This record gives sequence, structure tokens and C-alpha cells, in this order.
Amino acid sequence: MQNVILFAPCLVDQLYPEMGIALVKLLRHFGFQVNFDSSITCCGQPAFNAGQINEAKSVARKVVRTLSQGVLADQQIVCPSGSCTAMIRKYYPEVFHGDRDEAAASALGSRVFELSEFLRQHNLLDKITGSCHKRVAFHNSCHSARELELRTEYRDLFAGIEGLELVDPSLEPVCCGFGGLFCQKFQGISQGMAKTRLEMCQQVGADEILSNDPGCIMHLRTAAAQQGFATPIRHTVEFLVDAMGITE
Amino acid sequence: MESRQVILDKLRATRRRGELRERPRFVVERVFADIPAADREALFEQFSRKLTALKGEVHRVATPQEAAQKIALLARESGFVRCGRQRTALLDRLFKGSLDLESLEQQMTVVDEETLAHTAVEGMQCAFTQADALISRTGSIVLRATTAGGRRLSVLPPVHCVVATSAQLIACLSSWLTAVHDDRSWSYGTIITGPSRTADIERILVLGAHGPKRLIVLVIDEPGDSH
Amino acid sequence: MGSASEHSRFIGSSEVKASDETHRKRLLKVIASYDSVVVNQKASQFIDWQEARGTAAEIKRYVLDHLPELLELFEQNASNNGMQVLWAKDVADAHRIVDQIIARHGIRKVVKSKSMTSEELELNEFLEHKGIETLESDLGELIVQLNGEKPYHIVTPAMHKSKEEISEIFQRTLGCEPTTDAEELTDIARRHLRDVYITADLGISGANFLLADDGAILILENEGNARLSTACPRVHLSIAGIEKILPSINDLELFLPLLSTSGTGQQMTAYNSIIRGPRQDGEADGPEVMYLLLLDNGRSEIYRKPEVRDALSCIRCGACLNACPVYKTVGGHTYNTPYSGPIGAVITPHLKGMRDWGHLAFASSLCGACTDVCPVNIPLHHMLLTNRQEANETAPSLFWQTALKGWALAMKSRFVVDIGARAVRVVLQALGCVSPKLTAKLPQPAARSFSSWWSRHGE
Repeated sequence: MQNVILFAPCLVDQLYPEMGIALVKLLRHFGFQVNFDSSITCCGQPAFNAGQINEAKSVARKVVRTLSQGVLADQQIVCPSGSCTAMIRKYYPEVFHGDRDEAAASALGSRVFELSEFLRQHNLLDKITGSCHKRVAFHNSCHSARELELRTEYRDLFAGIEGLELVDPSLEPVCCGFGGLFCQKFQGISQGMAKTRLEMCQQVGADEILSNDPGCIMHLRTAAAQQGFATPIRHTVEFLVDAMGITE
Repeated sequence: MESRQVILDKLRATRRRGELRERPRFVVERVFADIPAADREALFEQFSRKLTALKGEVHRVATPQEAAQKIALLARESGFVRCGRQRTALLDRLFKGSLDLESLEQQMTVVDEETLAHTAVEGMQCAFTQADALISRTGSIVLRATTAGGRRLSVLPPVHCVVATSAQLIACLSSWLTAVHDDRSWSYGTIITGPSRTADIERILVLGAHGPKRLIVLVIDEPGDSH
Repeated sequence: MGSASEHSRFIGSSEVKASDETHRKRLLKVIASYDSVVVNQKASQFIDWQEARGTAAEIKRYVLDHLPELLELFEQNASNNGMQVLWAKDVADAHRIVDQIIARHGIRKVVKSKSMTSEELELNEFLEHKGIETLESDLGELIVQLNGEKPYHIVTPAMHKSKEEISEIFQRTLGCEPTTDAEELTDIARRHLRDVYITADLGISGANFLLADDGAILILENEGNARLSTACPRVHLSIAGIEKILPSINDLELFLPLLSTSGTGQQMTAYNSIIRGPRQDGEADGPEVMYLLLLDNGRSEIYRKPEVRDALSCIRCGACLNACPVYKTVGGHTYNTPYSGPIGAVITPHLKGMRDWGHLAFASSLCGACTDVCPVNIPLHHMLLTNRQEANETAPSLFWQTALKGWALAMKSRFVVDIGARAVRVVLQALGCVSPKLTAKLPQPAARSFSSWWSRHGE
């Protein structure tokens, strides 16, 4: 049985454990031995995006060191967030530039995969089969689209789901307005952006909005509640586990 | 210290460290997907298609006589009385050699190196000029002050009629740019692609914002010896 | 995080604009129409847009490496063409030069074609203060000038105005009859400006490119007002930033369609004027004198900093504004600076001071749409990040910095994180008892974290 490490983003860990649980179920369904190190709490992105590199580095160092030693050192890492994956793969080398952990940080980046990347790499996309009669809008996170270059790749995740209609509100990823601390510091703008995004999904008649990023999901759910949008919003992995009928 | 020196010194002192980059080269054929074939028919077809799509009017005629007839028709339809034109051999031949254009030419303001009052140009209903070349790829007309009767003639009047020959059709801008760069005798050139336009109001396209509302191009296949 | 006054003004204005439904919908509609033509133009004209913009980026990076020499080469060639090249290091310097030109030529009336550098100099206000009548001739610029506003967008200055609003402005300031027909409104502006071109003594323009090997300047426009403003008056003054250099006239083959495509979705703008100087012998007309003012005004500050230097590659197409979800939500005026949107947020703090303008770096979700569309590959959202670092150093926000320090400390310990989350949950639940409305719509920590679930179901 192949070993794989689950990286649980801070929002999954503390706010949305159901997303992490769904990912564990999916990975076990495909025959992976899932490992998780509970000493890791966050990738450090909130501080990095605020321009506070030292704080980001201190949190990131824990991730780098923990995942670079012992049996974990050569295992692939799966993450249910395009944003955290991008942070580790694209920005850790920058954060640790000239640091004693630079080599370990870069090596870590090449082992971490966003969920859809991981499934593709292991030729599992074909094995996603199930049924769900819904019109679904997929909200691709900016980081997965632009930093990981996953633009239309997500379509393949849903190809084997019978009855599902993907309604694409936009050709390009459209920001939901989350942006980490941005949504706290500039609430008016952030809520306005969410409104634009939710309206697009509403206009194409989506029954449900799916996303690959817990940050986007949190922000869209909050904005939907505050602004009176009723469309439910879920993580892709939760949807897949349901549609595939995975129970354990 | 004067500002020039302050600025240049600061740039020199702070420029990028390490080896400076070489001048990159680009090959037109590897950039653009819409370069027409070099034969005259293909060049005309694309020039006409591109400019017509931008609401320019393109007419192809065989001879200067035919061009004169087209102009006479245009003048009649549009009620042109006061027009202006550049003094060139081809335009002279067109306007002086045709009975159709006799009355138009009688009231014509002919522009050469003499300075005209702005109002004289502003009062024209249509201006006739030649061009340097026609760029097929983009449907553009290129002209210079020295070859098109100055700066105002082709922009102040509400209609601009360009007389060109099909031998002047070229595929891309490059060869014209190279040619005019070496000629140091001109102060103003312009690449014209369609009539004057604006979309400043709710992105609604309106022609004739400040320049000509109509841009008409007559392409003559056999201009004769005058060209 | 920037000065309290500019920062809080920005917050205030952004809240107003973000909740203004008419404003948001109009902007989205206008930009959607722009988006569709740009997508088509990129696809039909370029073999590979990514490669085209990569080439353009390389040319502009080469320019930055050789900027002092290329500026000198340009100056020499332009002087040979009869242009008078002047240098201004800041606004005061530029005002002094304009003042001298006005005095020397007895200028009483100025017609302007669109120029963002002149906005940096607040030239209209400066000239009006001197008693010089100054009229904008670009339709969008005219509309905002008549209404006492600043340009809303670097390419489409009156993007935020409806036909009805424009009609109202024209009735009020020009005394014309009411009409909401775009063609009639355009015609009103055309007729209003006809005499102005002819009676103005000085035409002021910007420049899109400065050609080092030719000594010419380029002006791209659609309306013809820049052609008229540089053909009719007896003096022409063009104002250009020192970064506007292109090495060669041959680079126009790429840069004209590139700027046009990104700026408006056109293959070529209607008029691309190449101006080498005043009228030459043997030419029918043209100004007697032409000045070119090379403006630094903070650009050499950007040049000094390797992390943001490449922002000087910008060709001011406005694509990053149109792509930016923040711009689409708050519009141009909220930024309160000539350059708005992502490029404005990148360069303004360096041009005008991090202390007052640092907040612009934080007013972004870092979504990267700007970087995606930039025709010269400026990594705009990465530059916003480095601006944040600089802002934290020059004008720290005590609250957020302390909060994140505490956060970083907590995140290193699973125990502290779990306790903290539980505490937040308890507080939110207590708050919820008092005011359910307040907390019902907020995310709150789950009853059991993922790691605690894992401790039971992990193996």
C-alpha cells in the first residue's frame, strides 16, 4: 500500500474538518495509506501575504522540518487547497532563500500536490465514477489557476459523474475576494467582489458551487449568508465522496 | 546640477548589477498569425477586408480614368463643392485630366509647401491625398507630412480620400518603417487604420470623433507613367 | 499601512463604491464588453500571445538595462530632428519649464490631448492658475474636465459615466440641447473643439513611445484629437516619462498592435502618429517649435529598487485595471492618484511615498489577474507583496504586525492552536446567545478539529 501524507490547511483543521475527513476517505478508497502529522497547523501563508516574512518563515520552518525527516521524508503530500499548495511549492523557496533550510524547502515543494494534480498523476481520474443530477459551478481558486497553472484541468475530475452539468460562469478564474487578511482589512471591497462572484454563479443557474480551496469556500459562505445568496457551497472532495458513494 | 545630469547619474549608479542584457530580436513571421501572402491579390483582399470591417471604404479601379469617375460619383452623391488636395503628379493627372472632375477641380484648394490658413483647411468638405503605402495585414494606410500634403489636410476635413496604387500594397509595417527611418526629411508620419472613432461613451462606437468620419481608399491597378 | 488620512479616505470611498450597485453593474458591463474583444483580438492576430508578450517584455527589460544610454541616444537623434529635449526631475521642475515655454511664446490658450504624465503634474490646475485657458480634447477627458473630475481610467477616462450623465454635463457646461444619443453627444464635443484647435497657441500631448534610434515620439489614439492638437497650434509640447523608450522604430511592428490589443482590443488604434519634431522645410504645416519634456518624478526611485524596477516596463495599456476585481469593485477615483488599479498600487507608493500610499499595496487579494494579462509580463501581484514588506518597514501597522507575531507564535504549537480555537468557539457561542444575528453569519471553529478526529480515526 502506498503511503501518502495529508496536509490539512489551518482552515480545514479548525473550521472544516469534514473536508479533511472526506479527503481521507477518498484516498483510502483508492488504496492509499494516509499519514498525518498533527504538529503541523498551517503553511504560514497568512503572514507571508501580509508581507511579514519572518513570521511566515517561523511557521513554515515547522512544516519543512517535520515533513523532511524520518519516514515522511520521501512521501508525496496531498493538499485539499490550491492556495496552500502554491505557497509551499512556489513561495517556500522565496521565503527560505539563503536560509539553512532552503534545500529542504525546495525539495518539499516538489512533493506537494493539489488534490486534482495528485489524482491525475496517479491515473485515478478515470476511476472517479458516480452520479449526481445537478448544475454545478466550479469556483477555481486564483492560486490554483495562476500559480499551479490548473485552469481547465478540474473538468476532468467531474467527467465520470453521470448527470452532472458543469456550468462555467467564467473562462478565467474570478477572485472571490478572500485574499487572507485582505477580507478583514478591506471588508467593503472584499464583500463586493464576493457579490460579483456569487451573482455570476446564480446567473448560470448553478444548484451548487464547488471549490478546491477552503479559503474561498469560507469567504463565499460568509458573504452568501450576509448578502442573502442561497446557493450551497462545498469542497470538491466532499462532493466527490458523496457522488461516488464512498461511505468509509 | 542640472536635472538632466541628476537623472542620468542616478540611473547609471543604480542600474541592474551583473551582465547587461543583449538586444532581443523578433521575427515578424513568428509573432503574427495573419500575415498575408505576398501576391497582389492576397494583399488587396486582406487590406480591403480589414479596413472595410473598420468601416473604411475601399474601391479598386483599373485606371486613373476610372478613379476619376469614382471620385466624380462620390462628389456628386456627397454634394462636395469645396475640396482640397495635395499637389502630386498622380493627383494632378486625375483632377486635371478628367472632364468629370472639371468643376470640382475649379474650386479645389491645392496644397503644397505654402502655408494655408487653418480655416481654409477646416472649410473643406473632403481632402484628397496620396499615401506612402498600404499595409495589408492590418488594413492600414501610412502617410507622411511630406507625401500627404502636411499634417492637417488628412485630419481636419470630415472626409479623407486616399488615392493609392496596388503596387503600394505591402504585407507588414516593417519594410515601410525601415524605409522611412532612413529618410530624414520628414517631421510627421501616421499609420491610419479606419476613420476617426471613439467608444468613450458607454463603449458605443461612434465614427468621426474629431478626425474624418469617412475614410475612402481608391486603389488603382494601372496608374500609368505618372506614378 | 500608510497615512491615516489617505488610508481612511480610501477605505471610506471603497465602502461607498462597493455598495453602489449602479456603479458596480455599469463597470462590470463595460469591462465585459472590453474582455470579449480582447480575447478575440489576441486569438486572431497572434500565433502565440504568450510568446508575443514574452518578446515585448524582453525588449522592455533590455531598455531598462540600457536606459541612460538609450535616453542619451534618443535625445541626440531628437535634437537632430529639431526637437528641443528638456528634463524635469520632479513636479516643481516641470512646472518651471512649462512656465518658461508659456512666457517665451506668449501662450494664452492650450489644447491638450490625453496625457497621464500631465495628470502627475496637475498641469490643468497649474495652467488655469496662470490664467491660461486649457481645454482637454479627448472626448473622455473633456467629459471629466467639464465635470470637474479627474480621469477615472488611464485609457478610458469617462468609463464610469452614463449617456444620461454626459448629456447633463454637456447641457450644464456647454448649454446644448438634451440628448442621450452617443453619436449626437460625440458631435457636440466635436463642434465644441473645432475652433479650439485653430485658436490654441500651444498643443500639449503625452507620448506612448520614444524611439531611441529615430528620435521620434509616438502618439496612439482613435479620435484624431491628438493629431489636431499637434498639427494646428504653433507650439507643441509633449510630456513623457523617462521609461517610455523603445530601442528602434522597428519595434513598432510589435508594440503598436500589442498596446492596441491590450488597451482596447483593436488590432491597431486608428491613428499612430510618429512625430520627429517641428515642421521641416518643404512641409505644408506643423508647429514652429516642438518641446519634449522627459519626466522623472519618482521613476528613478523605482529604477533604484530591483524588486519593482521592471514595473517601468509598463506601456500604460490599462489591461491590469480591467482585469482587477478590486478595480472593478471600487473604480478609479477611489485610488485618488493618476495611476489606479494594480499598476497604480505598485508604482504610486514609490512615486509619492510609502508612508501615505502604502495601503494600496494591501488593497489587493493578490489574485494575480493583473500579472496574467500584462502585455509586458510585469509580475504585478508579486510586486504588491514586496511593497507590503517595504510598507511594514517604513510605516508599520502596530495592530496587524503584533497580531501576526502572536499568531505565528501560536501556530507553532498544536496545543496552543487547539486551545485558541476552542476559546474562539466559546466566545462566539457566548456572543451568539446575546446577539444571534451577529454571529450566525460568521465562520466559527468546528466542535472537533481535524487533528482531534485523526487522533481517533487516523490509523
